[in-house]
Amino acid sequence: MSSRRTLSPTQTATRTRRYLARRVAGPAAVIGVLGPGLIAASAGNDAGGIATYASVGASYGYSLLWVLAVITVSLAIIQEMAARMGVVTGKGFADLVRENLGLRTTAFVMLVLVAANGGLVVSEFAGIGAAAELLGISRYYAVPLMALLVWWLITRGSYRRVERVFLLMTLIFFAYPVAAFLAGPDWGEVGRSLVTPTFSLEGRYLLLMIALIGTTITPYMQIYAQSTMAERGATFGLSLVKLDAYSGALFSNVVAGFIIVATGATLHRMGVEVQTAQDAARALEPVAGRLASAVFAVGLLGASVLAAAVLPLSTAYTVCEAFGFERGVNQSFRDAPVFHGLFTALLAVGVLVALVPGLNVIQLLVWTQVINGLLLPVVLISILRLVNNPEVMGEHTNGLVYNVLAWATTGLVVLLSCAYLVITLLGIFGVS
Amino acid sequence: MAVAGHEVYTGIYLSQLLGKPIRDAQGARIARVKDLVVKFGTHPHPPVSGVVARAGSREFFIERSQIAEISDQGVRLNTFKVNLRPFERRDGEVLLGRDILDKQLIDIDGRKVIRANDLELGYFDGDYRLVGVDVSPQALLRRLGPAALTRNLRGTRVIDWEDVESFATDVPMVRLRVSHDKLSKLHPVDIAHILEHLSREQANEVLEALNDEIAADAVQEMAPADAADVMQALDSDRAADILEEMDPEDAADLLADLPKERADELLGLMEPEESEEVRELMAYKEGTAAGLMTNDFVALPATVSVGEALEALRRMEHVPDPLYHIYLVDDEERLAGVVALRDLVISPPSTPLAEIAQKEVAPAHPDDPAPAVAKKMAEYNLPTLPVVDDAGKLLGVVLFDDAMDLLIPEGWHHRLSQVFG
Repeated sequence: MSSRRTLSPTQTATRTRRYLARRVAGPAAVIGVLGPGLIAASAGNDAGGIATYASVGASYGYSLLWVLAVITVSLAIIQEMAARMGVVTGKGFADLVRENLGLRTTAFVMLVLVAANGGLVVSEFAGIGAAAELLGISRYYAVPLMALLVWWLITRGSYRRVERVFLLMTLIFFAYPVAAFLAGPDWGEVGRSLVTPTFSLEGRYLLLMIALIGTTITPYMQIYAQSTMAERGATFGLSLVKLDAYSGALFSNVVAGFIIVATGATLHRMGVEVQTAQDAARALEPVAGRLASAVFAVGLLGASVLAAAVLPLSTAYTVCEAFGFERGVNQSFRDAPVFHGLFTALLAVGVLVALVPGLNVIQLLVWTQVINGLLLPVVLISILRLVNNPEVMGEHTNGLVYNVLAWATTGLVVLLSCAYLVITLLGIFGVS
Repeated sequence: MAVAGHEVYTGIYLSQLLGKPIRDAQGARIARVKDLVVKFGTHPHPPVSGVVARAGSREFFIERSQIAEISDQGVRLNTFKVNLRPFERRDGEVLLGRDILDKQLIDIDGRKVIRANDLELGYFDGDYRLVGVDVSPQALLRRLGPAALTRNLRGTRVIDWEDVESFATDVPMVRLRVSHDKLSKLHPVDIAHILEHLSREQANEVLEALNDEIAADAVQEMAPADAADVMQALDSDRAADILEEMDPEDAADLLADLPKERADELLGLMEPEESEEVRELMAYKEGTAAGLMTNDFVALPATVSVGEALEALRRMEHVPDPLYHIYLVDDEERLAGVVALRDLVISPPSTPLAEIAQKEVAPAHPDDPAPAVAKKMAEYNLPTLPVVDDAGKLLGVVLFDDAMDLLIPEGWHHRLSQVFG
């Protein structure tokens, strides 16, 4: 049938959603049949994700795999809750927070979101810089250039035409599962690590644990899942939404698990800590050999540019939705100053931080994921309050098992954060 | 707004009133303002019908008749006695803080969805009334910032309540009737954009309130994904009514975007005649001339005269809209010519249609690629193009407004709507 497209200068509220929904179509066409939940979840495997998983594998081998197994369950139910809210209410996260939790809470949650996503934007530009340097280009040229390109493509409206190129580049990360097999890990040990909880009160261990959770369960993924479902969830149905969210969580974390196994079987065995992007690339040597660096750089560049374009936009969008400001890239700066200001400011901050001389990129990437992990409880608690409010969700509030698991996840993150804080403070005062 | 002989003032903000003290006739604080109740439906600016008060953990309702004054300092009563009965919603009553503040509303004048950052109240027409909706950022600062600094911030964009429509679905429990009369006077394209911004429940409410024809016009102007979402959630009978009023090619496109069971259900509920048209179109492949065409057109035998043709048109129960051409067919429904409406109107009634028919049209084949068809229409300035099968049988007509969607250059389309469109 013909598709009647409506021209709509004022049609902005659903536009980021639609954009994100379009992202679904991109890789779905490439990889096969992927639902929005699948894409939402695998979007977690961006520059920060790769850096975190590689660091985890290199530093602790397979021993943190059990955390990944546990948070796969968490991710599945959290993504499902967000998607369910979208289906049932037809509203975005910002809408629901503003309408049900009051203006003060809204302001706080939005501040947290800007901080968390701002950190991610920084990490994406750091990723762009690292990828460029692996390819032998100075980041002082590459980062500002890519930022200008992203800004220009988006405000000029031509971003969609080049998006597919970046998406294809990210497929390179599917080399990790192959690398994991080729590295010949002890699969028995991998299996045991997956189900055997180990724990250490060492600072770095806790830090990487928080980063692992922060990069796997990312607030912007929940917001994405909810807005996609708010847009077109009615034609989906709740059981399909559930299946989609669960399989998405499983799929993305299986890929993450393979990155840990691949680095664990190579770098950890050699006693190499991931200090630079070069180190992280070495885990791909079993597949790519001497080309490992270049291959890794291309994947990193694709993932980073994709997220660097989406994150500032969706952040500015969500904030403006919450406060009722004009929004959308089609609006002029004069008509939507907050939207354009925030969008541009996020890009600018990302570039500036990524250009700091002597920057340790891997450390920065991991830290931005830690910030996401530390801020995660704020978003989780908001989601839980909304999803358990019968006035919002009618008969579709959480069941007991869901609430127990979701609160346990929130509690775990809070506990880890506190433990890390205490240990760091003790370290500062020389008690260790 | 001012009425002679009454004190008139505005500028009380709901956010500054909430939590303020309620004093009795002697000025003793007896409670705090929990919420303000207004009554919809009697006046374009709904009057205050009472205050929900809170004292300790107790909440109770104070009638308008017991209130002497409402100001930014709080509420002063004209009595010492208050009844401690809790608030019970009466017909048309809305809690401003709970039901309207922070919620989405429709700005009819601005033709868009807004959010109530604050509500402005005033005294005129002999009562305290809801004046307008403050959508400015100043309203946010007023509510978030330290009172000493932000107390005197005035809203820079306050929208008159007369130009605002609210949603009944935001008011729980009570079935409040909101007519959405003002909304239905907007252009269908504007209504479509507003619908795209609303939650599913709100969009449902609006579509329930609009008449079939306006609802159909609005739905077919919506982006396909949004339209499908709305029609999925809408009451089935209502959705079928709206589909009947839509152009069959648009209805077919929409149904194709729905899950199969839902599409079948809605087709089953439509009038057989309309659903047959739509079913027929749904059978054609997307991206072809047949997928683009409508089967809602007027075909007459070539032997008919101009006068008879006009008479036939007048008597038709349903006349296609837009109507640019009339198609001449032979006994086997084969296309024999095309008559422009203009020629029909200016020719003497006795002229046979065959005489004024344009014969040089090269019709499209059902399998022709849709973009090529659209291009041809643009090149030859054709408002419509008939689609004819191998046997010469007239299957349908491609209308320029449907073809135009394929023609808009991508860049322009983007600049006009959005990057991501």
